[in-house]
Amino acid sequence: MTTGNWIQSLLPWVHFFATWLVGIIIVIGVAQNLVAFVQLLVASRSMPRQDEFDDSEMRWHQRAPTAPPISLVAPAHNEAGTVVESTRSMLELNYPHYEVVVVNDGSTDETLSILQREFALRPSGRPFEAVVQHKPIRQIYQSGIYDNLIVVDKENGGKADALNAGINVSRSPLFCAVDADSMLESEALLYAVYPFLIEPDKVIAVGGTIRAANGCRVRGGKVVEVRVPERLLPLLQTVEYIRAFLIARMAMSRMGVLTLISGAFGIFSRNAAIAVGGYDTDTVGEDYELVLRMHRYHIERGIEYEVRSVAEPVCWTEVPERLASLASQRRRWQRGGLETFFRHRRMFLNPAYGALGMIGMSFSFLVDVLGPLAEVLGYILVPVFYFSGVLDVRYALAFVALTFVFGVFISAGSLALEEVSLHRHPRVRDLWLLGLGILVENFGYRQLNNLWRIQGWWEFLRRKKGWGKMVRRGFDTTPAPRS
Amino acid sequence: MHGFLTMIWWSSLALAVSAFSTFMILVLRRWLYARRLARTAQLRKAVLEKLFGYMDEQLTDVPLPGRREVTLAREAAIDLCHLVRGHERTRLTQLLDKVGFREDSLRDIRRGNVEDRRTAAMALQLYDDEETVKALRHALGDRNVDVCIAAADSLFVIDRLPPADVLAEQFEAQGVLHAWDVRKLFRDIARRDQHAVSRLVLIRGVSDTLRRVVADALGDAGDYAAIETLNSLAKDSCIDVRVAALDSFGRLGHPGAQKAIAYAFTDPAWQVRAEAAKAAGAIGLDILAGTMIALMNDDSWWVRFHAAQGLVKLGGKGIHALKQLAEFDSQAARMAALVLDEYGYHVLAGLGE
Repeated sequence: MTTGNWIQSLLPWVHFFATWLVGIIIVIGVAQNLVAFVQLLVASRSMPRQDEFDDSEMRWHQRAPTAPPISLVAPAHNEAGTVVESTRSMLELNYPHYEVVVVNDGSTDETLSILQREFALRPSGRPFEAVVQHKPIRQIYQSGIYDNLIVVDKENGGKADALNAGINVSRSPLFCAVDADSMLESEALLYAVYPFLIEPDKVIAVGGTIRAANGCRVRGGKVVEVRVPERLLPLLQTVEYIRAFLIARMAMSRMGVLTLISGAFGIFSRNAAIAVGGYDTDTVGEDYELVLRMHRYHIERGIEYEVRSVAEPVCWTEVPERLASLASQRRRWQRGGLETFFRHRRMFLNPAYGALGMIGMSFSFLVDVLGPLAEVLGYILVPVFYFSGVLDVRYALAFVALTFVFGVFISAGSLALEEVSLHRHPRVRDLWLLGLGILVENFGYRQLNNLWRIQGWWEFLRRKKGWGKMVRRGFDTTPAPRS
Repeated sequence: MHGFLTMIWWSSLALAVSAFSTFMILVLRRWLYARRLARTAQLRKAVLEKLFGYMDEQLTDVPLPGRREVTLAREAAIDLCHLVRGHERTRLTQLLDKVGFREDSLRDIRRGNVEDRRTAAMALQLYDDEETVKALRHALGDRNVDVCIAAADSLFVIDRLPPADVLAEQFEAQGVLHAWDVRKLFRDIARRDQHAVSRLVLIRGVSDTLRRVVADALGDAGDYAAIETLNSLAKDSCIDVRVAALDSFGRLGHPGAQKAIAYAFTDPAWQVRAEAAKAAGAIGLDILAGTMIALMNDDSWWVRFHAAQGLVKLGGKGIHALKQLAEFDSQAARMAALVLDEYGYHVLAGLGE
């Protein structure tokens, strides 16, 4: 058989293989879109109306008398630039009983000395129960200005390790894990504690909505004027955050399959977190891992429980403004997601884990595990197959257009939910900017994101550990004009 | 196949048009909202001036020419009703009647969406006529817990709540008895009439949840006759009920709880022992200081901690006992030293547990 004949005989097989591969990629793409559509429908049913958020006095009147004490746990590692402002924002919350536990996780910059100076810290003999593992604590400090501010200075062990130290030192039945570089809404705890008040014996964790603070005016550790960032990268992330928190999280919460509570803000039952051994220090997806482990623990023991999400924006965070930082963050998220998914793969499509195993884990598999692989494979194979003459370009174009337009449709839906329910961006100009972001993200940003996620996959396969560095620009603290 | 291709393109087009229309509607809605907001601020100011004039009887009527003015007057009047009492409140209620507020609220509580029903249930506490009471009592059976609680709160304000046992039965049937809002309501009821709440434990087959609600509510009773019921609840078979009863002892702050607290120090559940230590400190039962020192050797960290805190709260006697204990070398001594240091009575070097 000559080489030519040999190639000729292979062609039908190549064609067959290409057709199937493209078919699989299309099916995954369509399934992802369907998941997003279902989530949009479910979220729109569960979103409260805007006027439900308006009356803060009434909220205080209703919730404060029975609100349980909460310990805010904020791990800080080399956060000298933002730690004072974010600590102040935590100390000015509108909540009847809470304490702030800032955990200095072996910072090598001036984080601790700045805290000592600004908050008049003095060494404290505060006793605590060592119920979860973490690196040794060097010293606990108590503020001489704020009775409810505790600073824990410990050896560096990573975010999860610092959170575990915070869990040990905290004394409230609920603890709220927050990032030390985030700013909280003054009513964040009153909003997020609500599910614990309604179902005190069942709810074990509640996540809140996180928003990008870039572009907003900040004063005294508070967002005083909400603005949509004008820089492209933060703008695109703002669109992503709105979509993720108002659609995916709300829908999964409503369906009882919420698997992720963001590390930037989440309230947990201290006992429930201790029961599963606290945060896992061996993964970069410690927030996702903890929630999944809590689900698993309760399902396996037949204990009734709920994990919820609230729609109200409770926390503002500075999103990366540089590609390198964003890439590092997204690789880390992907790696953390995969580590957690595969660690708990036993739950995937396992009826013993109910809706969580069948629906929640399937969503994760489709979106987090297969999603980036299918999309990037599509980007590579479509031109290859086209030039090989085995792909009908009309179909390829039609599917690509459908996928992109579907993305725009879902994002527009999330914007509509934001407008009807929350209405947090006061200017018409902000809406135009968000609309622009919705369109632009499909051309370049989406592909880059998938590329970073593939890199995250690679790091996962290579069993890479560690967080990488994030460069922060700092908040715009220009005084807001009087309205 | 061609038809399939056409369908994909048409789907894309339909989605694109939907997305674009949604976006344009949002922009338009926002633009109208911004315009309305500016106009509303002006109108609200004018309406408030008229309302204040009416409350002071400088005006005999409040002229409200447009629908928007009526809505604003209604919102402002409701806000003011929560701030004023007596004659001024009566005038405001009369004004609300005139603009059809009561009728609208009665309609909303029956047919509105969740938020409308909740708002109406809260607002109707301004009236105590039979029709309003009937509507509020009907709303107690609402499928939404917030609406039930709002209706119950309003009935409480106008003193027309159904008997506590009927209320408890209703909340239990709806599965909301464990909610903190319900516990708060029963605390309010106990403040007004502790006997009505105490009697609930006598109901045949009373559930653990209801006994816990009662135990929790009696802490706010302010009537020391509640101690008798709490004494029995502090020996309940359910741990949560015992804990709630001991917490209530602490809130009541009456030394009559001494026996029950001393008994709870030997409870097999650490949660109960810890709560008992807390209550002893809160009441200031220094007669129990010796037993609390013994609790400092408890296996549970929380019991040791609350015993130490309780001793600090006892004052001189407790602090002296803790200082003596801190001089030894034991688990209890370490806890004593750390808690003393935390309260500023002792300074330690090289801390951390």
